[in-house]
Amino acid sequence: MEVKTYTSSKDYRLGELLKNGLKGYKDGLYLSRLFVSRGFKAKYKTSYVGFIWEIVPSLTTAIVWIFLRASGAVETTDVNIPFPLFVIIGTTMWSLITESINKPMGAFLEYSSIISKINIPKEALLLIGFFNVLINHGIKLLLVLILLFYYQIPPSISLLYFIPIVVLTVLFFMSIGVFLLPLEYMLSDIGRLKNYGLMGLMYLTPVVYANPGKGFVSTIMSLNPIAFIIDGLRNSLTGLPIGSSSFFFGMSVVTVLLFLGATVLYRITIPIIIQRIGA
Amino acid sequence: MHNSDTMERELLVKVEGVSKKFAKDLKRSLLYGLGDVFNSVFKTGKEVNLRKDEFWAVQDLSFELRRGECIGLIGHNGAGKSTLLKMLNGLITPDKGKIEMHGRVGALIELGAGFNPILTGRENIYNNAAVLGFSKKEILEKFDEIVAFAEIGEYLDMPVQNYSSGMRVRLGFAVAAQMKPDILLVDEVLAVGDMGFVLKCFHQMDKLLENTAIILVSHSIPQVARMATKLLMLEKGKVEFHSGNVSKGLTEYYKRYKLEIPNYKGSELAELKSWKIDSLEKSYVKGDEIVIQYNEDMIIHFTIDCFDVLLDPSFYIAIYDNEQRNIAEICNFKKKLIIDSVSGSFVISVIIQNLNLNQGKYSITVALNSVQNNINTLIFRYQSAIYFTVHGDNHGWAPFQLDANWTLNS
Repeated sequence: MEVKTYTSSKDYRLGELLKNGLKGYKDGLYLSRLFVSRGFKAKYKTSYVGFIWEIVPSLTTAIVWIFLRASGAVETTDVNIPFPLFVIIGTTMWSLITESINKPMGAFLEYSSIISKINIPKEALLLIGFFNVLINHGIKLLLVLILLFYYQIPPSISLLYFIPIVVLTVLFFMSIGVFLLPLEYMLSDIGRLKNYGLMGLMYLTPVVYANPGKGFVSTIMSLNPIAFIIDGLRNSLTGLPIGSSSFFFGMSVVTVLLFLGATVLYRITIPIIIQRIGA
Repeated sequence: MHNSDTMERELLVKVEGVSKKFAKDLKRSLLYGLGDVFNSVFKTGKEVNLRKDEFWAVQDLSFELRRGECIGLIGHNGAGKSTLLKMLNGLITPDKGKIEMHGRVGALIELGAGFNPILTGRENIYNNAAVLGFSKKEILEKFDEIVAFAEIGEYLDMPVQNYSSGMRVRLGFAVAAQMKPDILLVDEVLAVGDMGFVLKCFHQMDKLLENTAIILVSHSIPQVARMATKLLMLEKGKVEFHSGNVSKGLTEYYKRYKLEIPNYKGSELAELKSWKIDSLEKSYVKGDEIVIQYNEDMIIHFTIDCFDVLLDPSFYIAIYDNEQRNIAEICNFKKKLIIDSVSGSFVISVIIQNLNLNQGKYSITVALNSVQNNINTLIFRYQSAIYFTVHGDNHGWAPFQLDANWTLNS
């Protein structure tokens, strides 16, 4: 018979916590799949155009930049693919990153009424977040695919890298989101700072324009690791070389470590936060 | 009652010296939370004493529970019952001490958690069952049983937001009732739902009790008395009573139950000035803690002040139990005593012989009627004028415990 032991959150053994956390992903899989599918069902029950709304936010940002550039109000570096495609892939991939960072907190708040009352595998919430990010962006990618077809960009071998880089990116940024979760929950200032930080960071990353090649922004962009990720994702879709393979190898190692760290931290923090949600 | 043969059964719940502290101030509580995360991650070994604005919600609590036993957790609001349940359920961790839970844990705490209001009852059964830890296979197997138990029939495919609160509870309990837990946590969930359904729920819990250890939190003492084989009374986080002697524990609880709200209001014609109760043991006046032994005589003397002449007066007494149920009346005044008129101050006495009420707390309501202009008129009515406690050796479920004689004829 299974025995569960609860002691002070300080009296844990790292290995045990990690094992329980990894088991939590397994135990929470069915629950999370069910909640994701019911969630979509519920979401679109009150809507006629449904998933179209998923595309709107990144599309509007893209349209603004396409307009700015076409009007000549803003001059940006030339890019080697059609500019609308460049911007739409950029904003879509940027939203992949921001949504991944925000998801651990978002899923936690959405399901806090359940998790504070019923002992479900807590990792199910992270899985729900993970699946939601992937599905939302699957929908957004439809628009990208239409544009790729429109501009007659043939699929190439680099497309094979796209899915692994997406998964890696989501895992990496969701892990960071888990690290931010206790800070964000206990101090709402952190959450606000994060949102403004991300808005600023977008302009230091080749999302809506490419590296200008000279000046302050260019220096930061060429050092910004997120720039490598965005470029890698965009290039793999448009058949260009994805960039430094050692970067992505290093990122994989860091992501695995971050993921394991986040798994342990999540187990420790959730009970401490739940006690502060109250009934 | 039913715990004599369970002593040897396996230990399922073991709670050793458990304490939990909370902070009163929100901002500080959140900062402490960050500190706790830091201390836990880096195991700084900071001691667990109270910081500023903190208090022990549960303090140094220990108990054990075996299969087939039911422990009733009682205590006033804020005594720490729900905090203890949350720790047992693994939602929050204790600050000190250790909890061991053996086997599958079920919780009837928040019925219908995980219900999505705009999805149908059918869709929500899957959600709720998964939340409670059912596998897909188990849900498919038990689906029909759940629907049958809930008795929501034709409304199964209606969105849950259109359900009445009672229907939601039905559906929630029906799902939870299909669990075959080793340990079951129950927190005040049976307060909603109509009479028939509550009885059904009790029947289901009785069935479960044979093979389950149940931890029951309730403010309804008859519910606790009905189910519990053990009692744990908490007050301000501390254990005040812990024993298998449920009847003694309930007496203790009633003693502490100080909520007495007498409604004293006379009229221009007369008022109840004072009263005195005599029992075999002693006499009581207003302000005393009145304790009557089961099956003893109780004599009440009412001192009345009349401001006018009252013709053909008659008294009426009603006895209410703890849950404000009217369980007994005395309305035979006119059959025993004929008075043409009264005036000024007088004392009226009533003797209740062999008071065979179940142990518990009761209140007395007294009313005076008189004929005014040829119409029998209410002069005053004092609701819950006197509170008293009945002490006895055995605790039954019914308000009256008849003292009958038995003989064997063969």
